[in-house]
Amino acid sequence: MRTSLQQFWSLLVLSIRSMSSRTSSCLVAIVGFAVTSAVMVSVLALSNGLATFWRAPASGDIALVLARGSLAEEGSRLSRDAAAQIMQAPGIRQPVAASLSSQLVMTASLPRASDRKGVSVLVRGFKGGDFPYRAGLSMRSGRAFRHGVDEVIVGEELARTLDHVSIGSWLPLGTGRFKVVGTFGETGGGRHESEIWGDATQLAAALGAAGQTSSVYVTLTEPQAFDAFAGYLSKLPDFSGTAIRESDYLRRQSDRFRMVVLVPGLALVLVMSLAAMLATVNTMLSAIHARMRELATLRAIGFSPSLVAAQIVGEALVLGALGSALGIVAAMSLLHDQSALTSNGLAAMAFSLSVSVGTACATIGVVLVFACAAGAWPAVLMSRMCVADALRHT
Amino acid sequence: MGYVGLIASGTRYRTSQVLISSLCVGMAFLLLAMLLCAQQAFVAGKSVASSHRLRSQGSSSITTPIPLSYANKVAQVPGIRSVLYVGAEPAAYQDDPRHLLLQAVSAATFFETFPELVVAPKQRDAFLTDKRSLLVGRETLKHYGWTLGQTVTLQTNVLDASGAASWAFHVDAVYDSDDPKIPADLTFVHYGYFNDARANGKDTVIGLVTTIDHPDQATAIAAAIDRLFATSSPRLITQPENQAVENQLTQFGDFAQIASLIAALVFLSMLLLAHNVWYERVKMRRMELATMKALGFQPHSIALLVMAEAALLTFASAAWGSVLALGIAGYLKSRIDHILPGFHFPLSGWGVIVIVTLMFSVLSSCLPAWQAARIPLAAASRD
Repeated sequence: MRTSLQQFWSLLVLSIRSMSSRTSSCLVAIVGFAVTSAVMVSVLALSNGLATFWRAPASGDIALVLARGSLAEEGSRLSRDAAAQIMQAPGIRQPVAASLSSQLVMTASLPRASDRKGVSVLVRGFKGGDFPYRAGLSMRSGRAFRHGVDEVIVGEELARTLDHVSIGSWLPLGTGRFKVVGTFGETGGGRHESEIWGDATQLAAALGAAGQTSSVYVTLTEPQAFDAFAGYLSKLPDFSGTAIRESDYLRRQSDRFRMVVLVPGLALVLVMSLAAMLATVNTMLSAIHARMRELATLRAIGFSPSLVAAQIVGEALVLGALGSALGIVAAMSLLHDQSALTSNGLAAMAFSLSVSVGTACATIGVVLVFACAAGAWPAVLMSRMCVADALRHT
Repeated sequence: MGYVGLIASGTRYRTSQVLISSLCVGMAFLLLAMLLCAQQAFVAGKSVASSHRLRSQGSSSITTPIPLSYANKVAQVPGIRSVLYVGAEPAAYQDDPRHLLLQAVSAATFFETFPELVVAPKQRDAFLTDKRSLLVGRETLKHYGWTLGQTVTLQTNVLDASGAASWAFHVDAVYDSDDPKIPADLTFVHYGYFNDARANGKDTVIGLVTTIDHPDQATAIAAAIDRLFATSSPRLITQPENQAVENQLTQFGDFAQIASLIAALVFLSMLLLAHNVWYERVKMRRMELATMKALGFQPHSIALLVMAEAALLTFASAAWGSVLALGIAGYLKSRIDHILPGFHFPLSGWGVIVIVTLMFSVLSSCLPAWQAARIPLAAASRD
């Protein structure tokens, strides 16, 4: 075993050394794999970014009540007495008033930093109470907004992508002008970082949504209390909302977007991987063609067919590893910690792209599998060759 | 053996290499064609009907309610043929997770404003006369299994005076369209039906669609409309429809840029591959090429031979790649219409593919062909 490993190693070193005489065909394989892995890293980074955007909260005890038939908060409008009706429901953590948060979600158009074109952003208004310090939410700079005043705080990720947003600047929202008094963030990023927060009454007046409520967030006594809570609301006559767990709501949103990114993105990566694999098959075929007599000599002096074949697969793997490393480094230098701004049609979604170790490992793994497959056929051809014929090869 | 025979025999040399190269190059064209299809979903349609339309919305956001009275004021601007007002309400049918967006329109001017929606005359009359009627696309009809004339109850966010949120509609009409950019799953209802019975939010719309006589006055009329409401709240933002759609699409990020970057990367790596293949083939066939030269073939005809072989391979690969892409796009179209409306292979795409094919075959083979033409006779024949 030991000797065959040593033999394999020396053969591999031999074939890697011989690469310099076949630079251009090796380069084809390396570039093919590099492009494939760069695209794969980008697709995965985008998908991870979306996943953090819709990341579910750690605690499962928060439910939200939306208007029946609404897909998302921005399209939902509850009747005026909804909060009072919800208060009567069982399963809400005591004191009830502090566990309920009525919110109004609207959209407003603001210019983005890159080209000053208007993007539609989510504006969330809070009724009464203090700044809702939820787990993981914190002020990153400045202070929280005060109720009854035209003040807003802006999500950190959104502030980076919008034009001229800093503490002390004024934002034109609808018919009003609001002073930015702080930026807030969520540990690990999330959807709230793409929003603007302020007092519901002030924002509603400026954006033409006076007196409306989009959703009511409810903290339950425990996650299991949800069924009783939702059941009570669904049996309530003339109640216009439905309850949904926050985690389910976020999963519903995230599934939609990840499918749109992941399915076409990975299909693209698959086709590119196949093309890169075929390019490598070509490279390896040329390589054995050029080294026919050398390989036949190796066989003639006693190297086993499987060792010679393994050497060819090994060479393909080296090309794959080089290519994927190159592609990942290129993609990382372009993408890492960049902010992406996209939209779900109604509101902007800002999130940072990051290339995780897992993403890089997955990419290298996929490329190596394809590289191994690319080396297999030439290797089988080589192990089956007739040594005498091959030695006669010109 | 004629010249064509020579080309054919050239492609038979090391068939495995030719086949693999064709597979690689074909896949690049497959990707290119698919990207062209997807790109169609991100570029605004430039149809004739669309150039006659202006779209107005509230200035603060796309969902700002606009008072209905604005429509009458807009109608008085010179150069305007008709004004259509639109409300939008999400709706759900039974427990189906897919939601409908009901566009509540002022029916009287609807067909005049959107001539590209083709509806049978009988159904058109039915839609216009019945206040509860629903005009749907083929896709919606198929998805929910509805039949013409059926009464369906939809859950909405609109509460009527009694506090109920379910509304009954008659499926009266179905539209078709020749334009692949028009989704087959739009739903239109009468604005009056909601407005007469709803408890709150009465007499507001979210947009106005104005039809104008002369497209070249579009920007001037749009500015005139916005001036009318300069001091009102909410103000209006009016844009020619083509421009409005384009602005909305830019919010998804610069798709065209990303797509062309990927296409360029794929093509550059395939170009490298093809160039390398032709370089290798010329090197391996130098004996044969030198013999041809010795027999009296001119250098330029040898160069042409190599380039013709390359062109044959590239065109064959481009042909199978794009035909396969067309098949896949046809299969996908109806399945992803609700996510990517307008996904289809454009006619102009053939032009792009032919140009790329020509450039690819020339770029991949010109250097090897030049080398082939300059093979030194004596040295090569001595191998």
